Amino acid sequence: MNSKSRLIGWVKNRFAKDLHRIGLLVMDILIVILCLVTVFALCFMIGSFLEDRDRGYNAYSLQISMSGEYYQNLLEKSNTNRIMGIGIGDPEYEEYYAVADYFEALTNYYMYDRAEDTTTAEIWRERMTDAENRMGSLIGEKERIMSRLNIQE
Amino acid sequence: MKCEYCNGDLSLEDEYCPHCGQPNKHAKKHIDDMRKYQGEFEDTKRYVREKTTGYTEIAVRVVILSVLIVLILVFFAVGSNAWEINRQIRKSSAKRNYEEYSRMMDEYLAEGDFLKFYSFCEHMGIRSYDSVYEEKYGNIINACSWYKSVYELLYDFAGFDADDSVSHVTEMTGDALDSFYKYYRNDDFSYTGRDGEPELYRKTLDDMERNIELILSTYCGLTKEEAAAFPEMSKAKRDILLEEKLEEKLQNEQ
Repeated sequence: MNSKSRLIGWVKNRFAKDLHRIGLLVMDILIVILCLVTVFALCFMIGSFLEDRDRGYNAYSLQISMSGEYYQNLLEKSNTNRIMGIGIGDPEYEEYYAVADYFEALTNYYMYDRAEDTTTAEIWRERMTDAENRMGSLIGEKERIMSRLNIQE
Repeated sequence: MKCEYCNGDLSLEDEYCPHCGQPNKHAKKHIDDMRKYQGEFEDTKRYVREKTTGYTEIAVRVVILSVLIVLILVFFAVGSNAWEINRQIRKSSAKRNYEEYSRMMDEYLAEGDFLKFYSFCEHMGIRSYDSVYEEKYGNIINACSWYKSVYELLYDFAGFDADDSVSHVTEMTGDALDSFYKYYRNDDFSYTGRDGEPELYRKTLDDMERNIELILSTYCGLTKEEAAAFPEMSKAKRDILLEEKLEEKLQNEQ
């Protein structure tokens, strides 16, 4: 047996137990780190499902659309919310929905009236009146909508 | 075996002869050998136990690490595909509830409420290529998608102010109109011709086109004749006309 292999044998024998203990310690540290990563990954997975895009729109989002005079966008958000059953019966949401309905009804009534389609125009006029009665504190939006589209009363 | 002194019977384990009391020299060797073998056995046993314990400690940790790595990969993979998984769940639900959803979709179309129809399909995960809905509603869903875009863009167009970009608004509106008119004119040959189109599909598209025509003539500054001719115009001509109307609107406001 040459001196090199004897030296290796001596090192192994001398430090075998220490190497074993160090190896176990490194693995324990890895396990702790991976446990933390696993918890993070689990939170990521749960968060991804909760962040589902079809959660509807909250009142703040509706208010943003209305403030920016993006009434057609408000209409889309209102339609989505009502299909999902969000805000039904909630006074705050119902007022936003009424503004969206008024926008849709007014624009349709005006254009069918100009096109002399009186039957369709009358249907939209009734919906307009109904929406106006539901607008509550947001009744001031009526003027903004008309001004936005240059509609004279 | 026999005692060499008195010839009495004795066994290998007898250190002294039970008859004459003389020492049994064979027993001594046997006992020494047994002690030696017992010692070696205990040493080997201890060595195996130490090795096994060491390997067990390592093996348990390796298994725990493997399980953790697999869990991490699974969680990240599922989380990254959460939207698709949700969509598949909604798609399955839409397939199960075809009767009910179909009835509601027909109501929306009968009332001419294409925007609610679109929102309903979006939320319920109903796509134009979903097998159960494709035959009756496939092309209607596609047309509604473009109608919704046109509807929103035309009202952006109507409410245009100087802060927006004329070319951007014109281009977006022109592109959406072009895509819608392709369905209206059957340019993608979804059907063999107007006669091949289902009645519901043709009525829906005619109603949508009429709405768009009215919006163009009422809110976007086009004349009735220009709005009526829009579907048959080339895209370039439509874009030019839209840009002219927008420029006129800006000038009038100034």
